[in-house]
Amino acid sequence: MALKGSLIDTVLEAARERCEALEKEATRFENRRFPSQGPRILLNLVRRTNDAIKGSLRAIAEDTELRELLTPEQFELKVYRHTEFLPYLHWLLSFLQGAEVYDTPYALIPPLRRFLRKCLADSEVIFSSQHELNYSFFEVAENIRRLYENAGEEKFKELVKEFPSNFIAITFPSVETNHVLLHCMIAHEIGHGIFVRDKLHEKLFPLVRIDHIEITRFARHVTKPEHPKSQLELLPTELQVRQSLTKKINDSIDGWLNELCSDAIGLCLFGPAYYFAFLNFIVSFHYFDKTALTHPAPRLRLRLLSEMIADGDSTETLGYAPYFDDNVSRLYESWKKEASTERELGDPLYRIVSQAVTPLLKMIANTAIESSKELIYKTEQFNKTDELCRLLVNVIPPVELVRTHGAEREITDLVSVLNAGWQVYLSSMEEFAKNLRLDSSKNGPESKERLLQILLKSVELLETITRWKEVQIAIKGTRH
Amino acid sequence: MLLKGHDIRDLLFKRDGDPVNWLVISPILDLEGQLEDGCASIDLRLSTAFVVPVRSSVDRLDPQDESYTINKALYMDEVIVPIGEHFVLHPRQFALGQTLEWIHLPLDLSGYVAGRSTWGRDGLIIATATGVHPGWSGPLTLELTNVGEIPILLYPGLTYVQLFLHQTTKIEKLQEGDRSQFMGTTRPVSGKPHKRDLEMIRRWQPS
Repeated sequence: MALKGSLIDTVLEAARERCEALEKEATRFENRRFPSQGPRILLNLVRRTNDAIKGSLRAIAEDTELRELLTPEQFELKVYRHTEFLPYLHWLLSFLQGAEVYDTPYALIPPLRRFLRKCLADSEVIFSSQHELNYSFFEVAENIRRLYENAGEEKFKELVKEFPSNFIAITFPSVETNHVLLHCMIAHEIGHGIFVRDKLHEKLFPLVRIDHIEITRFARHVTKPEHPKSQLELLPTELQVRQSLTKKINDSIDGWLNELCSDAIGLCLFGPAYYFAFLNFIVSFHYFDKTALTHPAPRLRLRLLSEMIADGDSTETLGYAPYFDDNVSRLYESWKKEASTERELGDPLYRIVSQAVTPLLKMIANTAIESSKELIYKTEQFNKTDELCRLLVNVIPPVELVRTHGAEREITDLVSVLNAGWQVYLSSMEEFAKNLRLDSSKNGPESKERLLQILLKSVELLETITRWKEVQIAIKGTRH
Repeated sequence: MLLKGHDIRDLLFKRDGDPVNWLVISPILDLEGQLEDGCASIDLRLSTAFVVPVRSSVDRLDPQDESYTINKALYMDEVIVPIGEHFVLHPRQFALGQTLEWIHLPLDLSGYVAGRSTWGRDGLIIATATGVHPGWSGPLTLELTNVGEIPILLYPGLTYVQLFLHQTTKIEKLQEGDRSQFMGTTRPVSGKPHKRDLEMIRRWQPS
């Protein structure tokens, strides 16, 4: 009995230590400034969960009757039902680490949140910078709910009752925090959310045709009896290889469809700005045919995007290309040509996946357009960005357009500002630098830095105007 | 000639020709409230970014020192205060703020910024050297000091300063390097003195 008692105390004491450390860390975050509500909601959940765990551990420690009643295994399980949350709470805190106003392009977060909530209604979001050259998307609400509801303790179920039904964590590379144009990659991450919401996997996967003959041929090749008899027994059978390959191929097709669909949705939502961000990001550290189990090669992704951008009135094109200026047109045409070049992939597994997915590109584009519907960035909107570029080149934030008749001011939108930004970035940096009147020696990086700053300021101003109007309406509402 | 409210209003809505000749003040959240016809200025709001000096290992700011710029960066901290929250300016504290509005002046206008007397009466001194030159484009940096005896809470989004605009002789064309140190910067930044002047003073020998 003595041994049992001392072990229990050790377990409880250690668990309490973990909770106290977590509490300290949560308090540290309490005093930070965040650019939107998402981090506070998450922090609140972490704190309340931690408090609940601490309370339970205290109650267990003080309940001498319970110690007598339960076997060591039952007791351990009882404690584990509470402490199993701890690693998860740490993971949630990791998103808060990069979510402060100083770690994020804070001016971009509120308008991005607003945009995301248009795409995925009732969603809350946390944007977090991480030391990783990657953008990622996690829907955490479902996991949290599952964990809390399966815990078997009523108080944990209570904790998630007020938690948003969708809570999304989007991460971006911390060293690129101020590169507002690169953050158009977030449109792809929102695409992942729409892919799940609209169950696009179920629409597309049945259309996939896998070359089973090729799988069999490959399985035979791997298991062919050229090996010495003594080794043959150690090798998997042809059937085993086929099963394992088929599973891998199915998983891979799943991943590729998700990525390609998210690309197509990203283009629908952000227009050419997504395409340019994708190019700028992906070609900077990937080679063009780099393929992975989860991600198709940039070449295939770019082919899909290029075809969607092209002129045409079919249902799978968005038709931005005719509105590009000469410089951007040349860039687009050369990438399009490169993307359409067929290259056979070396790895037989990726070859099979590629052969299964490539014929579906038009269908993927169609499905993405259908899913994005009212949110599609229209060619008419993109066409108007010429006017915004003119302002930007003259070092004026493209936020308001004055319509001389009636002295009206037309407010622009987030996506148009980003599209104008990309066009200036690609085509008019010399003119922009000239208007900044910087010393020629500072023209390159310094003028790019200033362009990014002006764009960030522009989205901040857009959000301020929008919020101002909302508050005005709310005040009028309460007065009536 | 100092522009009156209705002159400023006319220019704000004039959008002919080259944007370099436009007067842009954006956004004006409440045109009637910020720009009264009878006044000779337009009220501007405080933005969300502040820069405050901090006690650090930097022992002095010497413009002749090679590490002047680095020292200034070590000496200043950025503070972001979203609209709806406040920044506390303690007695005798100095901070840099910025206007929310982006100001773009044509080549025949210049301006200067003064604190609104409402706040001056509370002990808040704003802007000691904020002349705005023709062709300027960017938010205006504000030098804020509390000369009172108790802390003053500053709320981004409120109007703290007024911009007076003057007609000037038109500059035909701005040259590379003309007043460009801060053009298009969107954070309150401190500047660098002219290199030529520093060189002159360094080599100066008593006659």
